[in-house]
Amino acid sequence: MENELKKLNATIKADELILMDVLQNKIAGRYTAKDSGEKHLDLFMKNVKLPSFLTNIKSLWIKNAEANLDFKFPWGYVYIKHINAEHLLLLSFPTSRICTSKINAYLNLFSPENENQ
Amino acid sequence: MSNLNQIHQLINGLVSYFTSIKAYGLIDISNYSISSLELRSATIDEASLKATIEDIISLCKGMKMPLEELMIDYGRTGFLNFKLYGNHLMFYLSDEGNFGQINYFVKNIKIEVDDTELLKEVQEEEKEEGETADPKLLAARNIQQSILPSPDQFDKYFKKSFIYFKPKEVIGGDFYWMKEAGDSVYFAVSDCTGHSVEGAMASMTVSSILTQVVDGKSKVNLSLKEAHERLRGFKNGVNEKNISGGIGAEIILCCYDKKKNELEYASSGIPLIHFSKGTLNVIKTKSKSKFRKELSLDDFSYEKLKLAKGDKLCFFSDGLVDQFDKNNKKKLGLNGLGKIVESIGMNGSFNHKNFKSSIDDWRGTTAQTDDTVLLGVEI
Repeated sequence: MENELKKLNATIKADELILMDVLQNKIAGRYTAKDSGEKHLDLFMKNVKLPSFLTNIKSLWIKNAEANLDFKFPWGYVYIKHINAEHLLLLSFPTSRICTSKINAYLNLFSPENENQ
Repeated sequence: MSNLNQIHQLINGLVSYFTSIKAYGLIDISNYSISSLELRSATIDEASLKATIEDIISLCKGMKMPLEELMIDYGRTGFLNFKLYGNHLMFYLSDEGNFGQINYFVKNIKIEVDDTELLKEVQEEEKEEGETADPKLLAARNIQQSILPSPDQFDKYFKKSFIYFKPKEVIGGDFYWMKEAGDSVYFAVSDCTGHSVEGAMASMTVSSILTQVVDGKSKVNLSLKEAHERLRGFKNGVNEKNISGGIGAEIILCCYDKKKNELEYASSGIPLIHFSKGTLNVIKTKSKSKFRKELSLDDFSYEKLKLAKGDKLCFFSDGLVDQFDKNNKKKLGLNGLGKIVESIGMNGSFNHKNFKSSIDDWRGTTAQTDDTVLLGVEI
């Protein structure tokens, strides 16, 4: 899975990627592109109870499970993308500049099952 | 808190103007509890909103970052944002439609509240002093304050700034200074030898020298060396062997480049605190200039710091670290001051009011030890 995430990241240029298995509530794969010493996604996941956190926060607005969430922090962004019913992808971007439409276009093509093919 | 009604009035004005705000409320940051919550749409689930806010409080505490730094974007649907007013944090859930307008409005409200609070505090302090102080000292204070830059000038370059300035005897030798140069701003915090009239006269001289030597091009260590060399010129009437005679000053001279987000500093004894991503770094600086006949650049600390958004920096005189506690037994020290900065920097309350409150709590009714100045800026 790390290779798949690495390939994906060649285009979207995130700092860290974590693929979550939502049904089992565990990490299905991860890739760290830049060893900045700041593991923002680890900190993020350590301090929230996924997926109950996402269930609550989504229920305020988002009725569609395909919708995404974008957390803007002082150091950058954590972007959460629903890949399919089973998988969530968490990405950490270092800067305040993020082009979600471009990233979404590539993420829509990503399938965690590719590795098994 | 005293201005809670004022905050409610401002928020009521905000939400009545922007109908896209679907829910809003206040969090008391002293205990991280939701103190009020208003729903304006039947589609918003109160339990989910409360649970979300509680999760977010926990998330921000765990990540050691202020809640007001976080914004959650629901894409095309809306956003959840936070803004600090004094000791309360407002949260608001809104449609995406007028995101920019709402945030612009909220930002301006914040400035109004902060200025009102600060002005009131300063006026109260000046009123107290005015009742007891020598009228000549009060007149001198007006002259000394006329050379000090206003907080608004710092806010042009920093997200937030505050200045804690409290001479021991109405006027004193501590002061702060700034000079703008395009995308960069030069600023200094200085502690001149002596209190009251003696210190204030020295501070006016040093301020004038800084304005002369900072040309907007030279490195700050060169400018600082030049400033100290000029200070050594003021030796008439002083024993030639006593190099530390005349006008003495500890100075930190900084240049902040907003484009590069970089701070260059040179110091002759004024320390600084850098609070970044939950990590506190107290940077001591060397003070050799007054012991040497010939100055060299090695007599000064000099460094460049790469900064990140949300970083907090404090520059201060030794009057704060030497301040005795309420029992008049223990000095605050660099570590004590660092803990205060960490505390107010972590929970989104990095402002004059909270800093002053922490120092007042430490000092109690113990007499002020020395002139004090602290400049706090947030990137």
